[in-house]
Parts: sequence; C-alpha cells; structure tokens
Amino acid sequence: MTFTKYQCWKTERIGRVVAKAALDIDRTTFLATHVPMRDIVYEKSPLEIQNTSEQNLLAELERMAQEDMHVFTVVKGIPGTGKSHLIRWLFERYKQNHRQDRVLLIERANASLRKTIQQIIDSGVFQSSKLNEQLNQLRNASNILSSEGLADTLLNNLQVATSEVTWHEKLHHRIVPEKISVFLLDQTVRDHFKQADGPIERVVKYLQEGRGIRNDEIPGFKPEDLIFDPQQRGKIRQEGYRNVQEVADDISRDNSKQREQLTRYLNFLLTHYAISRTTNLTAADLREMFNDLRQHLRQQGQSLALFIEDITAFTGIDAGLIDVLITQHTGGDNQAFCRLTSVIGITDAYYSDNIPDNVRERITHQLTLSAQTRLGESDMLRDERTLIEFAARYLNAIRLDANTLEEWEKRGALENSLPNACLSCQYRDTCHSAFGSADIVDDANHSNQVGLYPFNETALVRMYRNLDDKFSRTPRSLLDNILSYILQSHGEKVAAGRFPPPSQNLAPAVNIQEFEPTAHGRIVEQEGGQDADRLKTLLLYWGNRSVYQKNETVGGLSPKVYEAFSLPKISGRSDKPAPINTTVVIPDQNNVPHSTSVDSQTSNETTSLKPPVQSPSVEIKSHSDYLDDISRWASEGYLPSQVANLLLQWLAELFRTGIDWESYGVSPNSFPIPSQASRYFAIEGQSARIEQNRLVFNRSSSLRYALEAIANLNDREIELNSSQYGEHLVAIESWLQQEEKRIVDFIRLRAKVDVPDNLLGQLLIQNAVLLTCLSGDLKANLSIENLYQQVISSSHGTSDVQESKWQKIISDNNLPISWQQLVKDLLRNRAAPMMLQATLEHFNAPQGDSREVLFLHASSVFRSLVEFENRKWELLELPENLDKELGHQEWDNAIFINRKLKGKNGFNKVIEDVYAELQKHFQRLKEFVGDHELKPLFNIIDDLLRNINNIHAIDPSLAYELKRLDADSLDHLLKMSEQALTYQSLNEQAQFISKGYREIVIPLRKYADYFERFTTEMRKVQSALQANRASLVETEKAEELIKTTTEIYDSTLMELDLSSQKDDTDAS
Amino acid sequence: MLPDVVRETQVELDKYEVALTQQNQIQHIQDTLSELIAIQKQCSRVIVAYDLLKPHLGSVEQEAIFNSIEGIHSRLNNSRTDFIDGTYRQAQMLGNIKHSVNSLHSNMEKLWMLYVQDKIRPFDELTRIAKTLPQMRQYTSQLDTLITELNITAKSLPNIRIWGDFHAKLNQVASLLKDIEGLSREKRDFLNIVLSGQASLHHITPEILEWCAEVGLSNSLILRFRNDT
Repeated sequence: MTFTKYQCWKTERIGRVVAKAALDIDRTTFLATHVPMRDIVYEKSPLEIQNTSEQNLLAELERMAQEDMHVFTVVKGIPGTGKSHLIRWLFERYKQNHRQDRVLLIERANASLRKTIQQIIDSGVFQSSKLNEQLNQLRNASNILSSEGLADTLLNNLQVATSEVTWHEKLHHRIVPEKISVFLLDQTVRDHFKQADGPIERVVKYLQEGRGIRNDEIPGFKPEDLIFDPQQRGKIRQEGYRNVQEVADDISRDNSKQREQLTRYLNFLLTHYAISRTTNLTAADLREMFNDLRQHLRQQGQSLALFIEDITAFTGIDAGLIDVLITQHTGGDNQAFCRLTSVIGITDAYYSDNIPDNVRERITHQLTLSAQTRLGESDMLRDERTLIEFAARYLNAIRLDANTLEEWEKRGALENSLPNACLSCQYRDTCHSAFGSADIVDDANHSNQVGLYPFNETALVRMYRNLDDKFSRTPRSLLDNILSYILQSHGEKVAAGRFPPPSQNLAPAVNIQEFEPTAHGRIVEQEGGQDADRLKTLLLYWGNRSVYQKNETVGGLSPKVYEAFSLPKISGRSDKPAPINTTVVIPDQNNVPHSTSVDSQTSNETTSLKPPVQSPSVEIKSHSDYLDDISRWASEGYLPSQVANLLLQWLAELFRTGIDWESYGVSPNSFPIPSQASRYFAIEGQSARIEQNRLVFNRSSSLRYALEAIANLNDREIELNSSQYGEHLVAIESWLQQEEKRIVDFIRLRAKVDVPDNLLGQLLIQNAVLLTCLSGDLKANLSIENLYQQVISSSHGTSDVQESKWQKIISDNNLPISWQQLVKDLLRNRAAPMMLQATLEHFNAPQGDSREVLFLHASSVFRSLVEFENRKWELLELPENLDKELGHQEWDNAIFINRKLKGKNGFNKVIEDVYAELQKHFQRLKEFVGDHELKPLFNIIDDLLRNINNIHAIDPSLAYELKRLDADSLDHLLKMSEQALTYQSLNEQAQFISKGYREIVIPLRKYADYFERFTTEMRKVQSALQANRASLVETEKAEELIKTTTEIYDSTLMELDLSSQKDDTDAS
Repeated sequence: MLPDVVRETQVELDKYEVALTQQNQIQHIQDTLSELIAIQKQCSRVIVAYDLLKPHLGSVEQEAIFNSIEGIHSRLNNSRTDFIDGTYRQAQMLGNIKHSVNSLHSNMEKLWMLYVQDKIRPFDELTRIAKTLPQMRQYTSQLDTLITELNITAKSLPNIRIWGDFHAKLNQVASLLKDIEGLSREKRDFLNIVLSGQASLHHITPEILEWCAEVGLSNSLILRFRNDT
C-alpha cells in the first residue's frame, strides 16, 4: 500500500483538542497535550533555584507547604505563552498531594467576573454553616452581575465614583470631577455609553459573559467611545446641562487631549470603584470574607491553595483579591488564619500597570514565561525541540479518539503510557522517515515517537519563525495560526490530493517565503506544471526553498513526501557548493531559519564570501546559458522576455542587497520583492512591452557586462576562478555605480521621472519661500542673501515645532480665510513641515556620518533662489509626468505643496484676498479722513467724546480705544499701504503680505473699523439727542406756568397784606 | 468724512444742551408753583382763623400774629420779585416762608385751643353734677356727645363754618344745663362730695336736707356705714 493522500485524523477532533485556552479543554486532553516547561525564568524567589523546570516549581511549592510558609507566586508572561497550562498543571499535581486541604482552581477561559464568582461558590469552600453570610454575599454579587439593570447600576456607581475616588493625575479644568459627575447623569450620554458595543455594554458583557477575554482584553472606555456626533451634541445642548454640553463638545473635538485623559480617568473609576461597588464586593469585603474563610479552615486544620489562571478574571475586584493573597498567616491577629498558597497568572502589562511596589515586595516567587524577548515571543518555544514536541503532542491528541484518551486518564494518565496513534498506523515507518517524528517522553530510558505528518520539522519551525510581526510567537499562536488553521482549512485537501495549497493560501499569519536562489521558483513553474503552486508551497515550507537535488531528495525532501501529497517529483538542479553569495548578492538573513538542524541538508547554501569550492562530482560549465541571449541583445537589441524577467529578478536582488538604502533614508522594506521585479524595471529591448512607470535600463556595454556577470554568478553549475569572480564583481559594481542614483530615485518615486537634475531642489526652494511667506516670517524688499537667510531660518526646526507654528496660523482668525485654508491644506499629512525639513536635508552638506543639518550647499540654494527671483516668484510648471503622486515622500510632498500653492485657492488667491482687503480698508480710511490733518482730527474726536460723555451715555470703549490709536501711526499705515498698492509683481506683493498683513493690513482694518464704529455711534448719539430734545417740555408751557405762578404770588400777597386790609376796613 | 460727523454731532449736542436748560427752568417754575400753592392754602386758613379769633385775643397775641403775617408777606413779596427777575432764588426763599407759615399756623392752633377750652371748661362741673340728678339723667348722653364734638372741633383751625358750629353746640350744652346752672355753691359742693363718695352725715345740713326733699333727692341718697377698723 502506498502512503499517499492519507488523512490520519478526524477534522472534528481539531476544535476539541486545539482549544484556545488551556482551561477550555477537558482534563484528559490537557494532560495529553501538556508539554513540560523545562526552563522557566525566576525573577524572584526566596532562595536560589537551580533547576528551573515546572517539576521543580511544584517541588518548591511543596517545600514551602511543608515548612508552613506563605506562598504568593506570580507567573508573568505575554498572552499565549502557556501560563494557563503551567498553572493548571501545578493545580492538578498539587491537588493530588494535598487532598486534605482546600485547593481551588479559578479558571479563566470564557470566564467573566460573574462566572469567576460562581466558580468560587461552586467550589464549596464557603459551604459551611459558619460561612453562610459570606456565601450569601457572593451569591448576591453573582445575582447583581446577572441583573438586567447592571448597566445603569454601573453608570450610577461611576458617577458616584467621581466624588469618592481621588485620582493621581491632575484633570484638565474642563473635565474636572464635578463636571464629569453631571456629565454622567445626562440621558444622552448614558444612552451613548449603553448602546450596543458602547463601553458600558462591553463592560457588562465582560462581567456577565466574559466576551473579549481571549484577547486578554480588559474592557473599558476607549477614546473613540467619547466622541459624540453632532446630533447627540445637539440633543445634549437642548436637553442637558450647560456643563454637559461643554464636556461633550470638548471631548468630541479632533485630537482632544481631554478625551484621552477622560478615558484614563473613567477606566480608573471603573476598575477601582464602580465594579466593586456594583457587586458590593469591595477590597475590604473580599479581604474580610477570605479572612473568615481562612479562620474557619484553620479551625478545621486545613490550608487553602488558590490557583488563579488570570487575575483579570477578577477585573474590578482584583485589587481586593491581591490584598487577600498577600495576607500571611503569621504575626498578630493573622495567626488565626490558615496558610495560603497562591499561584496567579498575570500578563506583563497587568504587572507593570497594576501591581504596586508594596505588593511586589510581598511576592514570594515571581516567574516569567517571556523573559528572553521583549517583543511578543514566549521562551518555551525558542527551543526547537520543545516546539516540535509541543506540535507532536497536539497532532497525536488530534489523531486519537476521545475514548482512548479518557481510558488513559482513568488509568492514571501516566506520561509513559500516553497512547500514540502512530503505533497502530500501517504507514508509520514510511511516514516517520519522510516527515519525521518527535519523542514525547521526557525519559532517557523510554521513547514514544509521534509523527509530525502532515507537517515536518522544517515546516513547523519555518512557519513559526516566519509568523507575521502582527502575531506574537507563542504556543497559542502556533496552535491557532499554524496547526489549527492549516488542519482546519486545508486538512481535508490531503485526501483530495490538493495539499498543500498555494503558499498565499496556506496560512495568512505566516509570511510568504521565496526561493533561494529565486530562479528556482522559475524551475518549479517550468517543471511543476499544474501542480507548480503546490510544489512551491511544499518546497518553500517543508523543503529547503530550493530545487537542489541531492541523493534522492529534491529541495531537501524525499520522494515519499511528494508521493504522500500526490505531487510530481521534479528533476531539480544538481546540488553543488554554493555559487557566489557575495557582498553583492546576499540572501535575506530574515528568511534563513535560525535552526541549523532544520536546513542541515542545505547548510552549505547559506552565506559564504569565499570563492566557490570545486566539486568534482558535478559537470562544470564555463558560462551561463543566458550569456548567448545577452550577447544577442547587446548586438541586436532584442532580449526574450523570459530571460529579461530572470535577469531583472537577479538585478532586483542585487539592488536590494547591494545598495545601502538606509543611507538614502529609504526603508529596505519598501523595495519590491525580486519576483515582482518586472513590474518595476525593464531592460531596453526586452521583447515584452515596456509599461509606463518602469525604470528602463538602457542597452550599454556596461549593462551587458553586468548582466553577464550576474547570470554567471547565479548559475550554480558554473565554476568561476578567482579572477573571473573578481571581474564579475567589478563589472557589477561599475554599472551599479552609474545607475545607483537613478535606481534610488526611482524606488523613492516608484516611477520613472525624467526631470532636470535640480528640479526637486528648485521645487523645494520655491515652496519653502512661499511657505516662509505664508508663515509671516518674510520681510519685504529683501536681497537674495536676506531671502536665503530668512527662508532657511524659517524652515529650521523639527517638524513638530513647524507643525505647531503652522497650527497657530490656522487658528489665527485675523488672517483671511483663504490664507488659513491654504495653510490647512498644506498641513494635510504634515506635508508642509515635512517638506521644510526635507528642504534642509536636501541641501544638507553632511559632516561625516551625521545627518544633522549644520552646513548647507548654499550655492545650490542661491541658484534656485535667483532662478525663482528671476521668474518673479512664478511657480514652476511641473512636467506632465509629475502630475500625480509618485509614492516618495520628498517628491510627493514637494509636488503636493506646489500643486496646492498653484491651485485655484492657492498662493495667488491669498495675495488677491490680502490685496483686496488692503484696498478696501485703505479706501475706507481715505473716505473717513479725506485730506484732513490727522492730529487735529484725532483731537476733535477726543473732545467730542468727552463732551458727549458729560451729557449722554456712550460705550466707554470708544474713548478707551481711541487712546490706543494715534495719528502718526495711521499716517504711517496709510503711506505704507499706498506704497504696497503700487506693487505689481507677484514677488513684491508676496513679500509685502508676509509681514505686511499683520503689520499693515490688520492695523489698517482696526483703524477703519474704529472709525466706522465711531461714525455709527455718533449717528446714534445724534438721533438720541434729537429724540430727547423732542421729549422736553415746550417753551409755550413755560410761559403759561410763569403767568400762573405770578398770579398766585399776587393773590397770596394780597391775602397776607393785613395793613391794606386794615386800611380798607378803617376806610369803610 | 469724520470731520462732518464730528461737527454734526457737536451741533446736536449744543441744541440738546439748550433744550435741557429750558427744561430745568420749567421744572424750577413748577416746583415754585406747587410750593406757592401750598403756602397760599396755609395762609388762607391762618388769616381766616385770625380774623375770627382776633376779637378774643389779647393785644400781645394780636401783635405777635400780625407781625408774623407781615414778615411772611414781606418775604413772599421778595420771592415774587426774584421770580419775576428770573433769578430762580425764589424756591429757596419759599422754603423758608413755608417754614414760617407752618409756625404761624401752629401758633394759631394753640390760640384757638385756648379759646375752646375757655368756652367748654364752665360746663364740665355742671355736666358732672347733672349726672347725679334724677331729672337730668335723660340728657346725660346728649351732653357727652356734645362735649366730645366740641373737643374735636378744637383740633383744627376754625373757619366760618367751624366757628359757627362750635358756638351753636356750645349754646346747646348751655341750654341743657340751664336748670342746674343757678344752684348755690353750698349745694354744688354737697353734690360734688356725694359724687366722690366722701359725703357723711355732717354734710347734710338742714338746708341741704330741705333742698333734697324739694328736688326729690331724699329717696336717692343712701346712707352706708364704713368700718374704718
């Protein structure tokens, strides 16, 4: 029977075995797949630990227990490093040895705070009549977490927290706790937070269902949660308090720093108060509850051991839990407590953010599973033997059915008797010899070989090492992104003869590999026929990324491997000592596996700077087959496209490795991969049509020699002697030197640019001049030298400083809208500041290796300035082929800015607007003052205001503002304006507006506005005086009054005139 | 042009100032007028009262009142002159004149009060005695009313009507007490002692006893024994 298209596993077992967290899987599978950790890093321990295996860690816990010592062990590690596995394994073993004690495992998988509390309840530790109260408290917390009103309760407690909780950061005055307290009461705000996938809804789900826990994500507020759309803000404005509206407006702005700060603040309140308050499980409650439990257990003669997979399962009450775990059973009142042994898993981030110094001091054992690398890699799988064993155990468990494993567990789950599916497989020998196997028993006297099929060692290691940077290199990642993904997605293709799939479909998390040499890909394509893609995948991941033939193997793979996947075995190329992997063409180090054992068959292919060693067993060619093609091309100008493509691939590899890209400020990553070279480059005379935007290498003798050299160097069948070798290097070097600048520029531009040498310089300088002008730094009537100094001075400063300067211009409402808008446009993607920085760098005269701008090539700058000046600052017309973005920042920014400056709303529009404004205000002022002497005019205005003030109330600011204006200044402004209005050329006008707008136009406007306001006010005063006058009593009425008064005088006097009355009486 | 604006505003300002001054003058005249009217009313009342009381005043009082009125007249005349001249000092003078008129008015009230008291006082004892006499009991209430009204009349300066009313009521009282007006001093003293509750046997002289029998008082007088111990 032939070992081909054989699937030795059932697909449904994959999901059961490869669960994403240790505690998702059943105990049997857990024990069957557990790989011992052999080298755990201790960051802290009471005594020196010699043996750092997990076995010894268990022994250490036992020792501490025997000596009746408190244990608080912290297992750190980035997510997926195996903390859960380790803790669960410790729990299983510890439990076996401490049956008399209370040993509790708090699972994390799928856990929510509600389920975590439920786990404690279900564990029965509080199941005692003396602990009824505590049990009820836990039940109550669990009920609250299940309640429908949890969201509102949380929000209410969040609002209470603003007044109860002191935060270490000083809050911005716009989001002080008093304002946030009201903010959290607003119905629109609450609805927003409670909406589907809103922060409160996420927290509620996390507490109730544990959603998001697989990503080790602690839920809470995110800055984007605090953005309110205009409709919501409108609603808040209509219905809410003023403070709420202000807060909502403020945090919804772009780049709002307050939003970030409020996010941190709300999260702090949430995790340090609101959740514990909601569950009625504060730190004090939890401590008291566990203290009671420990007292009770002590009385029962028991100890307590807590194995907590992840502290984040306690989010919200975690601080209280830690308080419990650090409480010892010695000294003072604590003597009444039982001994506590705890092992908790925490992520590195949690450790650094949430474990205060005083707690760290009380940790007895601190371990880490990701000490060796700072960036997302677990220590465990750095060891390839462990990696292979790890994968083998899972593959074995997947192959076995559940019953077999359960039987094994029932028999005691002994390591040495772990069932092995391979033992009963008819293809065992063939399979193991083709795909390899791993011994999963950690015992020198015993062996249990498990096959790696359908993977092999190379595939597993290469895929793991080449996981994309977006994914951490952890056991979980190996399981999820490689084993589980490939078996689930492609496993059934084995039987259909379609495994492995094309490399781009294999596993999205794994970076695509390339052949080495790249030409071997072409060979596979030529020889592989319809299976070429699958063959490529096989060779690139399972094989040694080549088609070298050695003994029976091709690409390092035996014929059985090809047969197993129903793939044709290609003839390959005979294996021989490496051709020239020189300083010019160096294989990408990133693509070379770390392990020597994996690629041992092709280890001689790796970098060698030595001339090739003769191999007598291989037929020697004197030159490459392609030399004839090259020679024909040199004489006739025709190159077959296949040859051209191959040559271009080699050239691309040469460019990638032979040019110091970083010295040009270009990331090597931006260089296209060689297999795509023909999309970027072309050789003059190649038979395939040369598309636009290709960099064409012209037919020349130097290119011919270079191509011949590169063809020979890449042909492994050719043996070169030292002198030939040297000649080839010189030929390549010589051509590359000629073309390097063009290649670099092209890669920067990603397009062919046929432009004058100094075009970029000119573009940068003219842009810089106009930007300096727009920044308001430019003085009028400058000499070229002064212009140079001012432009350079204005361009100086980091892009941040520049950006801040430009932001001020945008927010300067004194400027015309077109000016602000243009600057805003120029700031898009930080184009303006980056272009100014690029301008200095462009003209930089570097000192040694330093890229700091200390000296400039002044003559180049001057040339560009003079040229610009001669054009009277008319902006350059760019060549047509530069009318779109080119993919290179320096050019693109320069072109972008040029385009913006030249655009309909560009620099000319700004000048037009400024001049229109100047003209307008100048005219207004002329109308106001005519030919009058200004000083007397100011005096009579002053007098008038004073006179009015005695009689009629007017706005006091009118007189106050007048004090800030003066005739001499206005006179000066008018003269300057008059002069500026005579400027006809663009450069004169541009130089005027730079400072002139602020120094002349704005003050001019101020005077005109004042006079206009004065005139309006005076008209009002006149009307008011007229109206008041009309309301006064008429003169006629006064005369009548005088007459009446006089009559009353007379009659009264007559009455009082007793003498005359007496006389009259006497007379009568 | 700004200079035009300034000039036009200044013109309006000047016009307004003139109008404002006129308005102040009118206000001044109005103040004078209202003050003057008040003085006139007060003076009229005083002069009427003076005319009525004058025949009953002593020469000293007459002269004092006369001089006061003369002084007021003189000063009011000066005020009038100021007013006519348009110097506008009259208001301040009117204030002083008003003060003097008030003072004169007050003095006249006191003199009138004295006159009223003089007129009423003789009827006080008679009214009291009348209340002890059985034949006068039916008039007691009427007497009280009249005496009260007379006292009220005394509170404001008299004019012709008040003067007439006062004397008419005084005549009514006199008419009611006419019967007992002729009682001898001895009999009046006896009745006063009886009213005060101090009368004893020795106050009952044979003449008194006879008079009591005559006027029907014998049955009204009750003898009581007082235990001094």
